Amino acid sequence: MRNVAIRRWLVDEETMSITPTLQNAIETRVAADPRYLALVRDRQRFTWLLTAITVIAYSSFISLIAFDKPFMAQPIGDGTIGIAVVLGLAMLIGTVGICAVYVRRANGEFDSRIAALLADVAS
Amino acid sequence: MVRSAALLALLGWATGANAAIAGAVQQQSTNWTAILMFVGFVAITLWITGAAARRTRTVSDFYTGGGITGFQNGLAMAGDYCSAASFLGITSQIFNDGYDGLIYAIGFLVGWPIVLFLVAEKLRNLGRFTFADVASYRFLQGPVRSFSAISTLFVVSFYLIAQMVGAGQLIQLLFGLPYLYAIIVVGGLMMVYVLFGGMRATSWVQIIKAVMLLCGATFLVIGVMAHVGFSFESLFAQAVAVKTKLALDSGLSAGDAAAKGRAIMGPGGFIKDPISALSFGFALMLGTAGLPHILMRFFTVPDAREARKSIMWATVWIGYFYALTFVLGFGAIVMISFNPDYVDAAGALRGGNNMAVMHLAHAIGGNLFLGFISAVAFATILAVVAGLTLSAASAISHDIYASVIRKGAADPSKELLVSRITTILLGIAAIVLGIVFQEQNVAFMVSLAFALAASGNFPVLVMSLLWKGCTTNGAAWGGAIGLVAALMLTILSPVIWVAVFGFAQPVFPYSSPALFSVPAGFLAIWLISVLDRSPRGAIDKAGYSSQRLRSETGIGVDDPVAH
Repeated sequence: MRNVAIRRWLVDEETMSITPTLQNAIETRVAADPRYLALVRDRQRFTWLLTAITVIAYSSFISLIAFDKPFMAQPIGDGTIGIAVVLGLAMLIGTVGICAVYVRRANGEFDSRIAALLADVAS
Repeated sequence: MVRSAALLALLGWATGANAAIAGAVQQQSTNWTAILMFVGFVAITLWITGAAARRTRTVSDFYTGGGITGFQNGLAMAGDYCSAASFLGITSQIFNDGYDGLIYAIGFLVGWPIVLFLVAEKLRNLGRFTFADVASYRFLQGPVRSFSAISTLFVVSFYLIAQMVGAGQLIQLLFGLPYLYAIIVVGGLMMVYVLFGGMRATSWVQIIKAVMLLCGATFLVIGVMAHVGFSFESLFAQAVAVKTKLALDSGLSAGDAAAKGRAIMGPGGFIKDPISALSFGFALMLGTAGLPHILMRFFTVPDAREARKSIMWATVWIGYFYALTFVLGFGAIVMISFNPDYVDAAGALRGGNNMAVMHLAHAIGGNLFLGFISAVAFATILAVVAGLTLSAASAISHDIYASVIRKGAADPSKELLVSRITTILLGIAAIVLGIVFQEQNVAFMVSLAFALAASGNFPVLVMSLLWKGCTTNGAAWGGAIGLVAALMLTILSPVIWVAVFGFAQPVFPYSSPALFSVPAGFLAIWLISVLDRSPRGAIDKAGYSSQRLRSETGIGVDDPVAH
């Protein structure tokens, strides 16, 4: 019942059905709209950028552990806490952070661009 | 060999099975406080199951629970993912070796952004009940759904057996009950939750358990920090001092002892072979994006927006949980290392290798708190097996029965009946298999579950969602090749070929197959699709633009509340 205000008038086709071609006028119009194409392009670029950052950051972290343990074991300043602990916690926080960055933009900018597009096409 | 066994043991710890527990398990004296608290937990969740059962009428209610918020779903995911064994295993790992425990915790968290970026919202926009809805969206239903269902059953079986065996062993440790009782209690309760309450009851079991686990761990961390004057520097310095003194006592020279004490602050001996390490990391990262019971949780929320929020909250809670375990492991070094109640004369933990956090709980909160933490550990296993069972039941009833056998025209009440019969059979199978595999090292089953999910499900999902050229044949056969490759390489690896079959040399030298089997899956899907000249292949390719429109915009997305 909730969260589908924009979509309500579009629903009611069987999810299970296979649609070899675009089914109705609204879908055809959305697919041809330059704003849709721009949205897909922007989102894809953003998604792959963040995916690459995640994979590279994690691989680098594992590689540092595998290849340069003395570096990782160095303490920072005069304390006990070392580079390894700081990098490890940075990985934990960074993982949550990169999710937050994505969700913020997707639930904000991308969703409102879709909503605006659908509202226009429907009217 | 030692190295790969250690890697796998940690994989087991962090996902629910408990390899180390598989070793010397000492049955403890019966812990009535823990049993009473667990009974209290069961009473609350059964009451919720009753309430859920009254509202579970349609197939959709059963599979998705009628919609929860992204925040609740994130908690449920965390409840599904942060296992009792990771709580016990990672803290004990840190207690023994320091920093190494954190490396594995990070591997388990870092898969979530991949799920978020590549599959979560598209999954929610295209699917209804299972990930096969999405994988087979524009394809011929029979082959792709059959592959997805078989793959789901494989992944779930290995994971489920590991959980059951882990459960039996944990109960011996924590409650002082015999193994057989523990298996029957877990299997029986799991059937009740899923049979009567469906996804709604399962979600709430997971949510309540996550809250209990996070609160319990937070309380323990506050206890630890109070002990060291709320200074991290002091916590780590004291831990190094403790380890140095232990090394001195064992007869090392002052210089060596100091080095040994310092060693807990950096990575130790676990990751020496970079290929195994990367392969293992691959399995963790991509396996998360292919676990059927995790993917199924995206259909419990109303739309893509809430699906994204689910992951946001799941990473917050899982990341927080792992940060807590790091502090708890060092807290255990400081607070229990010299206490003869917790550690024997040789420096080993009393009650088994994984008891560090339990002793810490006792040191901080006495018997009552020890009981609480034990009850949480047991509750955790229930939450995980219920989720697993539900995803296997829906693979049989929704993908095989309703979609393949009845061609999408199944009577909903019959479909519901099939899923309930499947649940009963699975419950019985889980109990029997838990008994049969009692003596097995279960860690490799969990690692296999992750590797299979990464090599079979993940490539099919990604290729069908993101690549126009993917065809029915490519998805079904390519996915199967990825799955079989992971299975074969695991059999040829040291864990089975040497440890189980007793050959001198493994055919495949690395402990995890993912670095090779995941690309094999992708390559097979690509190659078979490119070579596919069938008329059906043309239809598959033509269906992409419509699928993509819906996956990107949510046009026509089914509202899970209104059916």
